[in-house]
Amino acid sequence: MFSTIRAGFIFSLLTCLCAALIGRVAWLQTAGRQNILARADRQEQESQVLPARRGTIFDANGILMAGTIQTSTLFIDARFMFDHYQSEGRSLVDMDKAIAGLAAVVDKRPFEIAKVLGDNPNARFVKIAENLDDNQTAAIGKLNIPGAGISHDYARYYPLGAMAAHILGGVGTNGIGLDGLELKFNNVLAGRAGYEVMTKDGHRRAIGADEQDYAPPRHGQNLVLTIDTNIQLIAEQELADSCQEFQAHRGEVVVMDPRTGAVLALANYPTFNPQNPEDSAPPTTRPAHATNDADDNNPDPRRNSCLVSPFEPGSIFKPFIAGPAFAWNVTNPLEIWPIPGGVYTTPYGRKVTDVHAYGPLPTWDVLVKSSNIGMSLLGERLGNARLYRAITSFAFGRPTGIELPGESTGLLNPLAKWTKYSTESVSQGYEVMVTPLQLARAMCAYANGGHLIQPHLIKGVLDADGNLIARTPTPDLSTLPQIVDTHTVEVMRRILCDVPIRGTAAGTRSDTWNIFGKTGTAHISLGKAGYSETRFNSSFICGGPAENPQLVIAFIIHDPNRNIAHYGGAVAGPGAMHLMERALSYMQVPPSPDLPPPPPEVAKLLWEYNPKLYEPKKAAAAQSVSRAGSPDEIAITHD
Amino acid sequence: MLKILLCLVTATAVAVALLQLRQQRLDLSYQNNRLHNEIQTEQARLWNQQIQIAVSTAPNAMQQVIAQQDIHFVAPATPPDHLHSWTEMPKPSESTATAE
Repeated sequence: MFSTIRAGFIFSLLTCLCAALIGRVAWLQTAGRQNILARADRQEQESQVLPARRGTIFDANGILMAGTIQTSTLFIDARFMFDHYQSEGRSLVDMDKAIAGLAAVVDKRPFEIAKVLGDNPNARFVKIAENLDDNQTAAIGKLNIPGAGISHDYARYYPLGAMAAHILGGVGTNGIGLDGLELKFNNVLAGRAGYEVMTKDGHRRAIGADEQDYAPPRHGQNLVLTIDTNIQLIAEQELADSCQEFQAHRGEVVVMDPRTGAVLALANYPTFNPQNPEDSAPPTTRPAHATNDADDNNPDPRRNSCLVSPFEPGSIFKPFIAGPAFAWNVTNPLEIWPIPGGVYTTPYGRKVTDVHAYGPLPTWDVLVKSSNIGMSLLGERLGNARLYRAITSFAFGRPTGIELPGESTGLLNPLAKWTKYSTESVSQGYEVMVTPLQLARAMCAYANGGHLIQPHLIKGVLDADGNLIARTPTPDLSTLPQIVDTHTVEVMRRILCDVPIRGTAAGTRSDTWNIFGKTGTAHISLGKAGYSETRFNSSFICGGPAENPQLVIAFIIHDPNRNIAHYGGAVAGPGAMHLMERALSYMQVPPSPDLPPPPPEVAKLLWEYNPKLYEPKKAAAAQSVSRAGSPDEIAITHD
Repeated sequence: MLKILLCLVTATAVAVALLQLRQQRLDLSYQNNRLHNEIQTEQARLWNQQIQIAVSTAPNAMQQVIAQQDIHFVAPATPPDHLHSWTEMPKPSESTATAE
C-alpha cells in the first residue's frame, strides 16, 4: 500500500517535472523564442573583423622603410555595462568607481568618460583611449570591468621620417594608400581582413569559434625596393643643401644604376612627412627674390615632381641631339662650326646667343662649352625630322613606366606641329618638356653602352611570411633597344668628362673619379609672355665613374636666387658632384685611373686648351687606397 | 524502486561527468584561445620592436649618432680629399663654374 502511494507520488512528481519542462520548452520555442535568442546571441556570440596587417616596405638592403605597428584601444560596451550593473543589482556608484579606476589607468578624468557613456547609453563600442602601452593594457585587464575591453588595430609607421616620402606616399586614416607606392600597390600591401564569430562562456570568456565562423586575415605582401636608403639620405641632404644655399623654389634628384635601371634614390625638395601626409601644407612664404608671375609659386610638397612636373631642360638636352648626330655621321667631334662670336642670326632672322663670344668651335667644345649657336647650326643640318627622331629614340615624350602613380609623359609636340623656330629651340633644349626621371633614363644610355633601360623601383615581392614570390629580373642589356652605338657612347662620355674640367662645370671636378656630365641653365617659361630673363632652371646630369659607370644622377634646381648664382654648373653642379662622390665612396668604388688628355689632333682644336688641367691628381689618393687595405678592413676610430 | 533510484543516480552521475567534461572542454578552449591571443600579441610586439629597431638603425639616425659621438669611419676606397667618409656633408667649396 505504502509502496503504491510512494510510487504514485514519485510518478506524479516526475510527470509534473516533465510537464514543466515541456511547458518551458514550448514557451522558449514560441513566445519567448526571439527574446531568448537575442539574449543568447548577445551573451554568447561576439563577431569581429580581424584586420589584415599592411605589408612592409624594405629598401634594397633590407632596411625597413614603412611598417605596421599594432595599437591598443580601450573601448566600453556601454549597453552591456549598464545592463550588467542593473542585473547584478549594483548601484551607479559602483559603476562610477569602476570608471574612476579605468580613468586612472588611461590618464583621463573620470567625469569625461562618464559623460561619454551617458551620452551613448546604448552604444556597443565607445572609444575611450588609444595607443595604450603594454602596462596599461595589463592594468585594464586586471580591473576586470564588465563591458570594458581592448581592441587591437594596425597603424602605418615610417621609421625613416620624411626620407623617401615621395616614393612611399603615405596612408590615410582609413588605411588606404594616398600616394606613391602605398597607392600604387595598395592591393598588394593591404591584404584582406578576416572575421570571426567568437563564442563566449557565462563569464564572457572567449572559448573559440566554429570553423565556418572563422576566416583568418590574409596579411599584406611585402615590397622590396631598389632604393638604397643610404644613397637616398645623401641625395636628400645634397638636394636640400643646394636648394637652401641658392634659395631655390624647388628641386629634384634621381639616382639610377644605368646597368639595371634600378632607381637608387629619388627625392624632391621641399618634402613632407608621410606619417602625416594630410597635414603637409604648401609653404606660404616665397624666397625674397621670387616674383608672383608663376602659377606654381607655392609648390605642393607632396607632389613628386621627379615624375609629374616636366620642365624645359635647356642645355642638358644637348647630348641627346649630338649623340645621334655622331651615330648618323651627321657630324663628328672634330668638325669645326663657324660660330660668329656671341650672336648668330638664323636664315629666317632669329637671333641665337651664347653667353661667351666664342669663335669657331669643334663639336667637342660645342658640348663642353655648351654653345647654343653651335647646337643651332647642328640642328639646322639635322633638320626637324632627324631632330625629332633623335629625341624620340631616347624615349622623351613617353612615360618611363616606373611603378609610381601619376607619371607625366613630358611634352614633345608631334613633328607636324613643329615650325622653323623649333629647330633652334629644340636644339637648345626648349620647346620640349621632360621629367628628371626621363633625363636620368636617357643619360643611362651613355653610361651602359647605348641601351634604353627601363627604370624600376620594385626589386621583389615577399609574402606575409617573408618568402619570395616575385623578383624583378636583372635586364640583359643586349636584348634592350640600342639607341646609339658603343663607339658614340665612348666618344660622348669622353667629351662630357671635360665638362667638369674645362667646361661649364669647371671647378666641380672630382679628384677621385672621372665623372662625365652636362650642365643646363634654362629660362623659365612665362607662358604667352615668353621667357623670364631673371628666373632659371639650373641642372646637371652626370654619370660615373666614366670607365665603368655605376651611377647616373639627374640634379635639378628650379628658380634659384639669381643674386647668388643661376648657372647650372654653379648651382646644381657642386651638389650633384658631392652626391656622386659620396655615393661612390659609400659603394666602395675604386678610384678612376687618371683621365688622359684629349689626343693632340683634338687638343689643337679646343677653345683655350690648357693641358695642365689634365695633370694627374690621384697620386695621393692611390697611396691612401693602399693604406686602407681590402674592403673587409673597415676600421672605426674615435678621435 | 531501487532500480529507478539506481537509474536516476547513475544518470545524474553520468550527467555530472558529462557536464564536467564539457566544462573542461570549455576551459581548454578558453586557454587555447588565450594562448592564441598571446601568440598574436607577442607577434605584434615583435612587429613593434622591429619598427623600433628600424627607427634606431635608420641611416639618418645612424648618421646623427655618428656625428654626435664623433665617430670616424675609414673607408676602404678612399673618399675624396674633402670628405672623411660618405656620411659627412662636404664643406662648401668655391665654384668656378662658367656660364653657358
